[in-house]
Amino acid sequence: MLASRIRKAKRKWDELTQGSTPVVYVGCATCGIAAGAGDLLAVLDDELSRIGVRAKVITVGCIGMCFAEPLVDVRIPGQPRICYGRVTQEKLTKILNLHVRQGKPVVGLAMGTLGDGTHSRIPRLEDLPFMKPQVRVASRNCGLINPEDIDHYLARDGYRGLERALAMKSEDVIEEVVASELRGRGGGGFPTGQKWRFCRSAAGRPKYLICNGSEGDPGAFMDRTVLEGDPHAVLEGMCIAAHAIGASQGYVYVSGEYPLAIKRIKVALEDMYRIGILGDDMLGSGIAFDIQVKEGAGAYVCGEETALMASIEGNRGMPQPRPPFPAVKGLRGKPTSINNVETFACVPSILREGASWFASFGTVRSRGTKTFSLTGSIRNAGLIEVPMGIPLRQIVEEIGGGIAGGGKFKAAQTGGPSGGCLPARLGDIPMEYESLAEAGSMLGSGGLVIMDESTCMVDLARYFLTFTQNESCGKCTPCRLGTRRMLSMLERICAGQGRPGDVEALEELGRVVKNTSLCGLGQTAPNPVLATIRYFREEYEEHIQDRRCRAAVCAAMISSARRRRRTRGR
Amino acid sequence: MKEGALADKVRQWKKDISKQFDPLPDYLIPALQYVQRKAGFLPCEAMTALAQHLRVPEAKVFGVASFYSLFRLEPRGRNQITVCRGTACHVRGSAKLLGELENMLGISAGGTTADRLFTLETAGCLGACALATHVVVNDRAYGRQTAASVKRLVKSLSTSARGPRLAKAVSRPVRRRFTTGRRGNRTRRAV
Repeated sequence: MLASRIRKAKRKWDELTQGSTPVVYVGCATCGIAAGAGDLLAVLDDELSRIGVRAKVITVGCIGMCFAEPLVDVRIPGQPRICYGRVTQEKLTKILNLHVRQGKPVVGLAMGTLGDGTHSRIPRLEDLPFMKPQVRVASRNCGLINPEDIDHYLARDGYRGLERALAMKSEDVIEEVVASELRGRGGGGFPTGQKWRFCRSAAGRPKYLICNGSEGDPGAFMDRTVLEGDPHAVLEGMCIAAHAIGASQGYVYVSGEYPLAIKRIKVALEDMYRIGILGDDMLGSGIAFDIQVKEGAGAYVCGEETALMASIEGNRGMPQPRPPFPAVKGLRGKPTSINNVETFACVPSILREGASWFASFGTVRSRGTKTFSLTGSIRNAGLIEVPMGIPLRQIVEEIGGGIAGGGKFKAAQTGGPSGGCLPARLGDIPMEYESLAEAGSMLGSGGLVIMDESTCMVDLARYFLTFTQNESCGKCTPCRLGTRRMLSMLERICAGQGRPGDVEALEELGRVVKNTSLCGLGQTAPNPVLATIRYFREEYEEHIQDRRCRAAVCAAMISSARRRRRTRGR
Repeated sequence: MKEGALADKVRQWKKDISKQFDPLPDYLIPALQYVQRKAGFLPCEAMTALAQHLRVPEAKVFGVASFYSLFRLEPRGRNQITVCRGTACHVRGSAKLLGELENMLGISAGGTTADRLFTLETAGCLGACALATHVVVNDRAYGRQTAASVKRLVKSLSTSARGPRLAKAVSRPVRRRFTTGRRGNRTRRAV
């Protein structure tokens, strides 16, 4: 049933990549639109008709080079697809005129070529320092295909993993995922195959499958990029999982802050129902599987699995004690498997290419690849996907291109408000679950904020605690009151009213909140404070004893002369 | 607009809701989202109607509506400004940007100007961290903003006669009715 559709899709794709009509691709993920891609798109048709050229205009997701947004790619017959960055309307006019109309790529504005073919004066995009160390599995289609066109996905081996999975027994599908050693990409790091096995063997029907796209970590946008750039990869992963555990109903839970992702999933789901992937008979296999989109309403705690299920059931998003785990007693009391967006996005490739292929990337303890949203004071901010275990320094210096504005690398914040920070001197640490946990941080879902000397670590801890304190659902006391007490101490320190013994009190209270909170939010909320104390204790002490903020961030401690200097320096 | 017009509106919403959502508690959040999309906020009357249709206590509807940060219990201004307070934006100075906007509009985050022209809000993270500082104005994303550029943007909106998009959600008199009406006041006190 799918074979003829794939043949048709391949023809359509070949026409796009090798055909005689020029093609203009515009990166239209949220990051691209924020940088002005919408304005470019609005004038593109007029500009094309003005210069009298017929060209196809395709909107794509984000390739990860957010620092260079808006991105426009151009492909003309006989030449490779060429990517232009930081495109303004003037640059667009120039590119259309020279490249599309006259067939001469604008070498000065080009970033690189994409796909097959080379150009003598333009490097291949994948040879750039930003791209070279990357291995794209979960984000392999992001920025290359139109996420709202299922044919593009099919032409790039889409749903081949599902076809293979459907030809296998469901136990064997689980074994394949177990063998790939894929671990939960949302931060927990629990082996995915095992989770599926528990859910499969649990008694009770129907079984539910939930895709956790409730991405609330400030500084993280991995799920958004994948859902906006390649929703079918996630949905194919869900179909494979449904076959593996015997689920009949799936939910994609997406943050309400991501309207574009929600729209693109809805388009993808419609296509899937139309060609018979979802519905009563998944590709002729007799498996009935439905997927519904659930839009979040703005609660960070709903990233926690039991709170997420409460939210789907129409309740306040408050967590429940575990066990029982969702795999045994989850949504509406039935066995439920909850996996992260990126976890699902890895699954089709594992089934298509085989478990050993996936396990060949990464380290012994953490296999495969991981996406990171690289942001902060870094030159090349964007979404990257690298093999697990890559040293932090390589990410900062090679992929990230070093600190923006020539500053000095001070620390990296990993894992958002649940994680901690790593000082520059630990730059050789391999980015994988265990190493980061041993260093007092965590891999988390993949937020990676790079900071230079102008960041005050005490202020950073205060910032994260303001966030978690605000987002605490209030159900359990250690989290509700503990975070509040910790925050008030930090606010006092930042206001220049710290007292000796505050740091020790923070450490003690942090340990209590960590050990006694009900859910992941509270159990990890003290992490940013504890990690900054561990590595930057002297900054806390300067704040308390000398009333000095070396980064000149805490306003109460800056003399007016210093403040003037600082404003000028910026 | 007369009291009857409000009742008509609520009747209409109720009809739409019963058409779209089966009477199951599961649909509470989608139904609230639907009402908010239509009205711009959650009027008390609509929440009561929802409770009846989904067969859940009114207290639960209000509990859920007040728990999630994207639900609004009061009408918003014509133009909506959301400043991202994510980590990357924080590192790039979004606190300062927010402060300047608060000064300019004379309201604090979460507030609406007296002329109902602007509502200023913050978000935990809008996920466009590489384009910090990120500001959303009337559902449109603006990246790489500075205090000066946002202020220019806001100024251009306050001079344009009619704010885009949001103004269309509900005509203005209906909203005023909600705020000055008896029930509207009660809601505000409860919050």
